[in-house]
Amino acid sequence: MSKRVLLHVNPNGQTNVEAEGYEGGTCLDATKVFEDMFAKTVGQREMVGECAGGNPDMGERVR
Amino acid sequence: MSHNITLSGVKFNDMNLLGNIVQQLSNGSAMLDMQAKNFRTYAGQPTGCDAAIKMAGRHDIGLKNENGAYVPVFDPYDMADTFMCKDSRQPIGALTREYTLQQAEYEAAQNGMTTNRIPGKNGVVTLEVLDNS
Repeated sequence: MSKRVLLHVNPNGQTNVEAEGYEGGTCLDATKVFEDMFAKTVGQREMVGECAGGNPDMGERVR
Repeated sequence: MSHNITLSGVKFNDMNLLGNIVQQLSNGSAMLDMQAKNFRTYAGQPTGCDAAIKMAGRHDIGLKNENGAYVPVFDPYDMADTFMCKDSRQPIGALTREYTLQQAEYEAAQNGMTTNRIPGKNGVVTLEVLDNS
């Protein structure tokens, strides 16, 4: 299955993450995508943004 | 009053990449100095650092080592706008954004993924990452 991740890179160093095509489509899935694929890149940066259907406190946003 | 600010949410951990981006965005007018112990800032402000980005203007960007990653410290007053994000008016926004984008593009390529940059509002750039495996 084709998977698509959107990293919204903000000039202030924050990055919002959206993930599509991952099983379940929950915020936790997005967190796992984030950790698996981009932890080295943006793992030290704060994730902020809206969260659809998950835990807003996690700060992720998932389609 | 002018004062140093610390971007605690920004941490640079690939200094080779950072040095290359500093060169690219400044067209060679700025450079990363990993040996620097002081950086130029507004008079009276602390100048100690673990590395610095030497700027063409009167003020530099200090870099402080925190657990192996470098955090930028600088006084935006009278600093050259070399790395300013013009859309968001953040003084080194273009630098932090480009660093994040290039790191993500590199890691995506290493994992066999393709990427595409999509300009957005207020200086935000969206990196679309496609995994067709």
